[in-house]
Amino acid sequence: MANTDNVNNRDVVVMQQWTEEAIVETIERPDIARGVGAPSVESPLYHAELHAIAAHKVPDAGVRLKELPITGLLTIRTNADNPSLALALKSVLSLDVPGTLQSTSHGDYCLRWMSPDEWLLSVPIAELFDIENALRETLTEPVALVNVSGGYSLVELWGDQVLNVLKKSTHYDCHPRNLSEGKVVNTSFAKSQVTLRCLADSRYELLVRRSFADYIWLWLQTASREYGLQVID
Amino acid sequence: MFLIYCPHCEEHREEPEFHASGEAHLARPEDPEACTDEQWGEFLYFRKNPRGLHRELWVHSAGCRKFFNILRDTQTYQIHGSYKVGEWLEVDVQKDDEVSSS
Amino acid sequence: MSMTKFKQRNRLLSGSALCGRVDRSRELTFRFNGKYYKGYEGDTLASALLANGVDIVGRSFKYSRPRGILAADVSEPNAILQVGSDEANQVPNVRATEQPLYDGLISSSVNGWPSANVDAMSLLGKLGGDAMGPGFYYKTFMYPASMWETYEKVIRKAAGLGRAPTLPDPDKYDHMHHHVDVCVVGGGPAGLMAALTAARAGARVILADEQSEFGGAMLYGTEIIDGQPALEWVSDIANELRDYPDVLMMNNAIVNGLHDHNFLTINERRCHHLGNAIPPEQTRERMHHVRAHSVVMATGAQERPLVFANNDVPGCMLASAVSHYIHRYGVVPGDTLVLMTTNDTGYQCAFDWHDAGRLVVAIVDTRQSAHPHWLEEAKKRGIKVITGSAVIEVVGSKRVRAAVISAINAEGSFVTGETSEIECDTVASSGGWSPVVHLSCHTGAKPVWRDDINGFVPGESYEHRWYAGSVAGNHSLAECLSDGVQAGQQAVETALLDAQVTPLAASPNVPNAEQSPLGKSMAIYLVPHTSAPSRAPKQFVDMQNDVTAAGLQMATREGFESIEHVKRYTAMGFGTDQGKTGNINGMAIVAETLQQTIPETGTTMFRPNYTPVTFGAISGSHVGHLFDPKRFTPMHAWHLEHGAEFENVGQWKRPWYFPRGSETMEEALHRECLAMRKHVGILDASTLGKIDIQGKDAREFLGRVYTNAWQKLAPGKCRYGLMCGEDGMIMDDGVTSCLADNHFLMTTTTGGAASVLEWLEIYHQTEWPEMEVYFNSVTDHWATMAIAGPKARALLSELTDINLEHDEFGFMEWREGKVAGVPARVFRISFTGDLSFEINVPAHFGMHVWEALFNKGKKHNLTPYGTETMHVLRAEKGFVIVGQDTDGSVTPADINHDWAVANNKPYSFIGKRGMNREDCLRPNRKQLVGLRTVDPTVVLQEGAQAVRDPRQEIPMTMVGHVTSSYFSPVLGRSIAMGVIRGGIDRMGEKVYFPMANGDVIEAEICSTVWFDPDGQRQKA
Repeated sequence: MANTDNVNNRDVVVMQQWTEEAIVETIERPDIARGVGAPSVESPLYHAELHAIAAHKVPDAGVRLKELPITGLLTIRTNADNPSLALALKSVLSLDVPGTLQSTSHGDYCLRWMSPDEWLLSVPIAELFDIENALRETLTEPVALVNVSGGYSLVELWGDQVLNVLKKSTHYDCHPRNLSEGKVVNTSFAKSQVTLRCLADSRYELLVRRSFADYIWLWLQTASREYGLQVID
Repeated sequence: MFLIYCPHCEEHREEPEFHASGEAHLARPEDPEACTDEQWGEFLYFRKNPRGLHRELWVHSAGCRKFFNILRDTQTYQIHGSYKVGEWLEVDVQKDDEVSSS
Repeated sequence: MSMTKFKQRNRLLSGSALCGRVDRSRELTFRFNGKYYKGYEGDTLASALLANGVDIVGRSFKYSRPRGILAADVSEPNAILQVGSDEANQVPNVRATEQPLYDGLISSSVNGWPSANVDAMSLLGKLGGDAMGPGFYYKTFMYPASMWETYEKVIRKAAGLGRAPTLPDPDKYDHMHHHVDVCVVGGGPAGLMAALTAARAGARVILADEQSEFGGAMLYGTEIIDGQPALEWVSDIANELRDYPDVLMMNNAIVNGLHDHNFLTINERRCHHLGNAIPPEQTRERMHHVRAHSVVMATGAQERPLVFANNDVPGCMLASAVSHYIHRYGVVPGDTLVLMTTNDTGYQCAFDWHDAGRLVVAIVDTRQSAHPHWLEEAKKRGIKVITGSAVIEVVGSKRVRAAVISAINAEGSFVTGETSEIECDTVASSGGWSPVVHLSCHTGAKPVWRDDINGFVPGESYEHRWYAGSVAGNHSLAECLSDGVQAGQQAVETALLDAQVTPLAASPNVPNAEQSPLGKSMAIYLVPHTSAPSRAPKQFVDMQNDVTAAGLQMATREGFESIEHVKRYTAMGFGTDQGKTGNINGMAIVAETLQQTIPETGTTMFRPNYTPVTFGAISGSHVGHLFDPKRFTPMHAWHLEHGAEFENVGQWKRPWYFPRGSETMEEALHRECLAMRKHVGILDASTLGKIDIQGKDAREFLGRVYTNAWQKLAPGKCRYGLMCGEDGMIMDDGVTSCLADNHFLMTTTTGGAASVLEWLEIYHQTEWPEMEVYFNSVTDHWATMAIAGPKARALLSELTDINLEHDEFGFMEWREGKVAGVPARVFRISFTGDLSFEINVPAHFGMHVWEALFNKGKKHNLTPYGTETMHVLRAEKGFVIVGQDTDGSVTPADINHDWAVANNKPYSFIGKRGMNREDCLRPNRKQLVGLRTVDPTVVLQEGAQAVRDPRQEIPMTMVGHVTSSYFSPVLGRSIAMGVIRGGIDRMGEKVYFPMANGDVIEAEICSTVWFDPDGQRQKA
């Protein structure tokens, strides 16, 4: 359960813990009765009740955080010199092939370089099925496409103290001289790992594996404590 | 904590992103069935363990997940360079020049 | 609770020229050894104690001699105190010279009973002292061996420093990672200029200094730079530096380690001055991890005390420390001073003492003649200077009472002439300056001896490192300033060149320094005495560990000639001060005794940490619930709500069992097992590793990494796979399914997921790169729930459009369709041996589908079960768990899984050659069998060792052990599996398990399958 701590207005929440002792009440999902009717979805940080935490306003918060809604994620594997790659991306998504450690974007589509033969595409979830099929038709062997939408939490992090939070969390050099807009890296983060993309000056996207999302959420709360953390809906 | 150049990501990264995978260039015998038990044991267990230049296999596990080789001095821990699997790197230790070849 | 009557008797009056830099408007109260004292904000605990005339701060480690404060910085060996106002806030072994004073500080000596002032152990030290030479532990307490534990208790009580707290640390700590072009260590004149040079060039810079203010040695000097007092100049530089956005300035920050490739660990004490009043969002300490392209070391030099008889009596201090207390804190630590020096810098101490209004009895210069400038300054003040002489002994026990002075020869090796005694209460000594080289040695470069400065300087390394100022042996202020610019310039140019960044500005000009002339110093380490070291009163080399010159000489006589051996035998340099004031003296004395040169003798290796670091700082935020990531499945919230008890499987939290009401674990297991086999149970299996494998060579690849055959596995079918290492030993297992001709889904054990993925990659990338195949982890993408039991089909059919009928959907097949409205894959695989459907849906639908199953499941008695029940049920069927029933030394044949090994595959798959080595084929190997206890109520202990003959004499011949053991509610008796030598051919034979409590459990070797041996239930 989300809890707001009283006196010091930098204490936004008591740690949301996934321990045996933590949960005492049923999680409410106001929209859908549980397990019946149309399928409902839960993002990896659903249990953290970010909506309730966001209602609490933290003055002068140095760090802002938002979990994005469920997003369609597709891993694309092929040789970098596969001639069909550039064509497929252009025709289906209007995207260029990003270079090493870069990303390319067009509207709601973003393609991230992950390794010499691996890219990670994000699209609105409702469009993923058709896009995957379209890519299958246009890409030639060798190729592998894997839907990994369920496996990640997408978190956006920004604010004038966000660089300090990153410094506490990752060994990667996040200074704008090194991590500039559009650059995306896979790197260590606390005792886990994330895909980190620079969206703009002092604004970043973190892709966190679902099973580690709670740990990263707890970590970010601790790391941003001294700067003030505002959760945004 | 080492600073390691990943030849796939083409930049230097901190050691926690990697882990070491032992001696490099250990080719699996072409015909295992033709190996004696002793030869198979050598392949399994015997390593050079040199004092000085060592070629070792590393993997960028938290990064691009690719394997690559490092030429490192086991005494000073100086890393002379990184090179991709299937390539080779020579160093002239006297002058510390690097001549890479594929 | 009485306030002391002293009013800081040693504090200089405010308003005088030497009133210090403390803030006299903020008076603080603190406690030491039960008494209350006053000090000021800006004091250290040491300066405040000296201000109040406290002589004794503790007792020495071995001899329990009373000790006072020797130094003014991290080199302090004696003033090691216990600090803390309550149990949770206890900090042991705090160096009083590093602890900022705060209001309410409570401190005490770490040893000394009944008190530091009156210590009973000192009697032992006086009487037993000679018998407590180096290595006395090895010699004295060895026999009889049975008495060691008694001796140890006594030694523990007598020795030791502070005590650890018994409550958790309430403070917070964290880490920060930085990348800079130039890291400058030390904020004295050299460091400041280096940092300024780098900053003006536009570089990313960190400047770290151990003190609370920048200035280094100038904090207690009288230098003039560019016409202004040095500290005003420092302030201007620091202000300029603070304005650069890419420059980080840190005080109270000690660079503790300089690691490979210029990685520095810096321990910043952020809130030590706040005591218990740290704001809740602040961290007490921060560990900075800095990756620097270039490092400039400007760490300065450490003054050495001289070694003479009774040089440990309170009142014996380092000359520069005295100046430090006078200039920085406005404290003169005594009334009457005798100064002994081997060099010109020592004179300043006497001048400061005099200018502070106290009496300098004499300056004793060990050199035959002194520099006229210094003689002149002394004369101006009416101070007597005695040259060619030394203080050879101190008189006094709890405080210096007098100094014994004698003329010495030019080399300083023996006493010439008569001795005379002069009264004084303080003896300050300066034996010269040792460059603080430690950091340069951390990655293995040995320091280099230089005769011209009587000191070691940093050795060479391949790293981008530069040394500026005293650390390089350049002690004059002018040299420090110009070194700083030069080092800064080279450091930043190299860094910016590699970063492909253009420097913004040229180097600054070297400021103009006014400083008194410095002549040559004399190399003297052990001051001679009228008696030999073994007979003279103790001459201490290492104060903290009570190592004397006589002790060092004895060690060499006993054959310890390597300096590394001498260190360990005598414990020299072992203490919390790591021999900062003693090691060089000690090493020189050893060299002299062995009649070799100092470079021939060498120094011991310096290793991190330069000063002690608290565990809190090392742990950072990785404590409590952040110690290790806890991984959760998509259905975790449901498990919590329904009262699950959890177990850790690697980093995952998996439901262990679901007790209802006040059920014990046994009761819960009983209910869960029966419910599953009678009706239907459900298990959250999301944690198992899942790897998506695609490519035209995927099938061949599987054939190479698994022992089984894969060529004919058609789309829609699943197969159990066994994975071995090249040594033929089982490494992992799991079911792999054919999704399409070029597409497979591999499952692994929960714990093996990451390592199996890496295993596949290493072979693909380094051995078979020509194969067209890709591997991607989808463990987190899928939520996996297994429903099992006779009613599983009935339940699932209510929620799915897939035809579940027996002849439509067979065992070891999978189907695609919708479950609870969600696109799903359903696999008929079973780990329980009953009819089972494993439902996989994208993880964001996991909770919905799980709850949909429970909505329909009520009428089928759907029961959630955890890992414990799963273990029992699979054991009833003889299914192995890799890592439990195997341990890396078990081949497929050992567990009777020859059926899973396809020897006719064309490629020599991984494991084939290994499992056919001679030792893997010998007859008497341990083999997996079932173990039926004769008494069905007795449950064997996992790990229990088996013997064939229970009456055999000890040592008994062990023939195997129990790997899995449970009570089976379904069978109403205990079941177990284990490995027994030659077990497969010994069905029906008895084995015995002698237990630690004397019981011997009898069991019969039997089949590993206890339930439904034909496997009909899972094929329903």
